[in-house]
Parts: sequence; structure tokens; C-alpha cells
Amino acid sequence: MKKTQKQNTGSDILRRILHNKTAMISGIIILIIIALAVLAPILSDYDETSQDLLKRLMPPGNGHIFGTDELGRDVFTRIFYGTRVSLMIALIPTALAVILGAVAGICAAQFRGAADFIIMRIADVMLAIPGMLLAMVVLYTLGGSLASVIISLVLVEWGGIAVVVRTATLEIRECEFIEAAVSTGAGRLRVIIRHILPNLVPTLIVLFTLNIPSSILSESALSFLGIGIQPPQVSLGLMVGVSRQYLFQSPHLALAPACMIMILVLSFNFLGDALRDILDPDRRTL
Amino acid sequence: MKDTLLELKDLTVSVRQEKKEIPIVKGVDIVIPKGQIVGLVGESGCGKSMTARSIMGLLPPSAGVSGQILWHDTDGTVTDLTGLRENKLRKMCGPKIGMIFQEPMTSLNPMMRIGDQVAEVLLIHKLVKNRAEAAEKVIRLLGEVGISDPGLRYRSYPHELSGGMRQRVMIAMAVICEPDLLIADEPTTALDVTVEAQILKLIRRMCGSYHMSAIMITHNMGVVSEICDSVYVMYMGRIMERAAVSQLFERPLHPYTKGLLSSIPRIGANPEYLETIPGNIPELGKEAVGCDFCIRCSEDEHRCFFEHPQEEDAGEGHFVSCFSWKRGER
Repeated sequence: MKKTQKQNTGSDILRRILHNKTAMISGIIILIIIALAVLAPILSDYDETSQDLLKRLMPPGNGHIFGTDELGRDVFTRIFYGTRVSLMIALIPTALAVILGAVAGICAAQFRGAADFIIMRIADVMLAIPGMLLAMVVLYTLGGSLASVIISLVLVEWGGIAVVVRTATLEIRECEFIEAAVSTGAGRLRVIIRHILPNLVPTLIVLFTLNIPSSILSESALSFLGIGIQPPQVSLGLMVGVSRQYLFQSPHLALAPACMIMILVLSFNFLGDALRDILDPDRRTL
Repeated sequence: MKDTLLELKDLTVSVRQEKKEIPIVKGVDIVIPKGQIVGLVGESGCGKSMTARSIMGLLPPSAGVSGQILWHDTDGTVTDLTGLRENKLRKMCGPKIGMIFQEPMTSLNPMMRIGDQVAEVLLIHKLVKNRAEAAEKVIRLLGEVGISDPGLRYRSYPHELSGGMRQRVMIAMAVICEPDLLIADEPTTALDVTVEAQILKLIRRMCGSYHMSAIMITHNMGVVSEICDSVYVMYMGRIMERAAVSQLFERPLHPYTKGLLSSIPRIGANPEYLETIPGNIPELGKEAVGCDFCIRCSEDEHRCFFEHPQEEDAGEGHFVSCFSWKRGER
């Protein structure tokens, strides 16, 4: 079978994204959420930490769109500040994990032998430990903070990415154009940077977007359990966790941040799926 | 020899597979004279590609090479390429040796503009000062290899080009540093016939204008007759017969060569019947005691099965490894 030529040039990809409804809708939702998170101080009259103990556990309405929580703080405002943390968690550790995983995967595939063995066994060990457990151990030793949440998520995610990148690299380096590059005198480093890396970019983009939802969910879960983000910092998971006690009196306290988590995760998930279809020539239907 | 560019002496390539050494090329001697196009013909899997790849060090890691690959440089020095360190050999690839591959669809990087890909070769070997100078050279060469509107095409991606055009780009990549030797590994197999003729003509022209020698690997006797000066016929990793092209076509001596030549379909011949060589290439690694071709040969004798034929001089630069070539001549 003749291999289909990948058509992954920049303008081509952009055109296909614009034609893909799922990608467009989820992309627009993500952009709106990012805008809301960034503009939170302007959009809301309240401060995310200022308490009003006379107005505790108010139902939605009366100037508080989603009501107030157990300390009289405005839930609507807190959601957007929580989203800031979630987005940071979505982007920073995932990006770091993709970079680390890509370097490890490319090294393993390119040098083979002992380097391959050592890198992949470390990745296997990371994959063998349940991610949540590993993150909890890291957080327990480092203490709950944004930085330690980021470190623990990078540790959880890089292994899986390294495995995928290694396989993709092995496939690319078998391509004839790599041999052609070598036949013109290109050295190892040049082959990696000029030929392998650009062809990995679609894979890396998909890995990045598909890992974002799991990062958000992990952070939410860790904060829910009380070992992630610590008050007075706000996080969506932390909000759900604390409002657990008031679930029957004021369900909106848990529902509002939970819905936000759901919208965020679903949007990134759909975007990742759509991008995979767009960037993967074998799945593409013309 | 003063006019020799490259000499393969007793070249042996074997591949390790499941702890067994499987010989792919078994003691091949080839001489590439300066300015000549030498054909290397044989069926699929006979080791012709491996022979060519061993020159550039492009063999898979499991392969082992022995013998000598002697490069006669213009300043008179002779180097054995098999003994060269990896980085030294890479320095020769491009400025001294260029290579064209079989599949133009996959031999160009799909993520890189074709002009940049050709320019890359100049930049690797630091033959130009900057990108602008490289681009200028590339555009001139793209025009030379028959790409219309080279200034515009410079910015095209491979998928925007047809197979023939891509092969022209490959040729430009191979010759941009003006190498002394061009290795063409079945350059026209993936192309259709009209394009094939154009590409062959182009290779011939480039060889002429840059004073290049070339090794033309092919299984197509028609290609050989069109472009080559001399031919080596390979079978199961050995050279069966070698001669100048006109010699070989007029007076094929080895039964295998005769089989190859009679397998070319001819207009006017009986259209119901296409001549073939009976049987298949034996399994790799199953070593025959005698001649490798004996089980498929139509002129085999008793001793063919027990003795290995040595190369014999048939006169006029024509050599053949067969016991029965004299009888075959009649």
C-alpha cells in the first residue's frame, strides 16, 4: 500500500480546523473561558476572598449570580478565580510533561540500546504506579501548593507521552526522507531537529490537548481531597470539596464549580479529538 | 588505474538475523570509471541496493561490511570508505557522493519546503555564506533540472508536486554540491513510463554537465540500454556477468542475463506468451554449494551443482561467471 503523504503544512491545518465544527465550537468555548478567567477582576464587583459573614450560604440571586458560600464569598467570582488556577494547571504541567516526554521519547528512539532501555523502564515504572497515588505521594512530601501540584502532574504524565513519542519517532526515522537526509551528509542532531521534530509536531499537539483534561481532573481531585491547592487560594476542585458539607442545604455551591470543570474538560477533550482527526492523515476522511 | 573513481574490492555485506549471519552481498568487485554510468542489474533482493548503500554507509545497524571500498580522490589520494569514521563519511556524502532514491513520494520531508530541503545540503557542508546565497543557487539548479517557475516552486511543499517533479527535486538535492559520484537506486521504478524517459535523460545530462560518474541500480534492462555505459549483472549477491552495454546486449553469455533479456516484452512477439525465468530466488541464507543459479538454469551441467564457477574472460572487456558460456555461445 502506498503511504499517504501527510499534508500538514500550517495553512492546510488552519483551513481544516476552520472547517471542523467540533474543533471550532470547543475552541471558541475555551477562548471564552480563558477571556473570562483573565478578565475576572473587571467582570465582578466582588473580591474572591472577601468574606461577608452576614450573607452566608445565600441561594442564587440578590446580586450574587450563583449565591454565596459558607463564608459569604461570591461563588460566581470565585469560579472565575478558580478557573484561573485550573487553566494554569491545564497548560503549565501538561506543556512541561509534553516537553519532557518528547525529549525522553526522541532520545530513546534515536539512540536505542542502553539509553532506550533505561528511559523506557523508568517510564514503565511511572506508568505502573497509579497516577493519583503517585501524585498524592509527591504532594504529601512536598506539601500542597500550586508548584507541587505542577511537579506531581508532570511526573504522572510524562511517561505516557514518552512512550507515544518514542513509537512515533521510530516510525518517522524509518521513512525514506530521513535516509535521504543522511545521504546528503546531515548529522544526527540535524536529522532530529530539522526532520524528525517537525514531523512530530502534529503528534505533540494532539498529546498536549488530550492531556489537558486529565490534568484539570487530577488537580480537582487532589484539591477535593484537600492535598492540592490550599485555601485561601481558590481552585474549582477545592470549591467542590469544601461545599461537600453543605450539599443538601446549598447544592449550588458544589454544582456551579463542578459544571465549570465539566465544561472545561469536555471542551479540551473535544478539541483534542478533533485535532487528532485533523492532523492524523490515516483517520482523515476526505 | 588513473581513470578509476571508485573501486569495490571483494565487498561482502551480511545481515545478522536471529543470531545467524545471512550474507546478502558475497564478494563483489566493481570498478566505476570516471565520467561513466555503470548499471547494476538484478532481480529484487539480489543485493544491488545493499551494495550501493554500503558505499554511503546507509546500511541497517544489523549489517556488517567487509572488503574494501576504495575512493580515488581528484588529488590522487585513495581512501577506503569502509574504514572511515561516521562523521568523515558524512562529510563526503553531498560534496563527493550524491544519492537518488526509489520512492520520490516518501524521500522528501513532507514538512519542509522543497527549496529549503535542497538548500539544506549546501548549508550542511557550509558551501554558501548564508541562506540567501543558497536560495539563489537552489533556484538556478531547480530550473536546470526542469522545474518550471523555480522561484515560485521553491516555496512548495512536496505534496504539491507530482512524482516526476519530486524526483527532479531529489536529483537537485543529490547534485547541488556537484559530487563526483551519483548513486541512483531505482530512480524511475515508481514513475510512469513517459516520466521515466525524461528523468533518465535528465540524469544523463546532469552527469555530462557536472562530469559525474553514476551507479544506476535497476531491474529494468531497458533503462540500462538507454543510459548506461557498462553493466554488472547481479544474482544472489554475486556478479554473474559484466560488460559494456553494447557487448552485453549483443552477446549475453550468462544464462541468467539471457533470461533477463528475453523477459523484456517486445512488440510484435507472441502476445499470448511472456518469457520468464522459471523459479524464484532461493531463500536467503540457504547457501548453494555450487553455482547460485544452477537450480533455475537451463544450461546446467553436473558440476554446476558442486563447484563454484570462477569469473572468466570472454574477451573485449566481457567477463562471465559460468561454466557453460562457451557452449552457450556456439
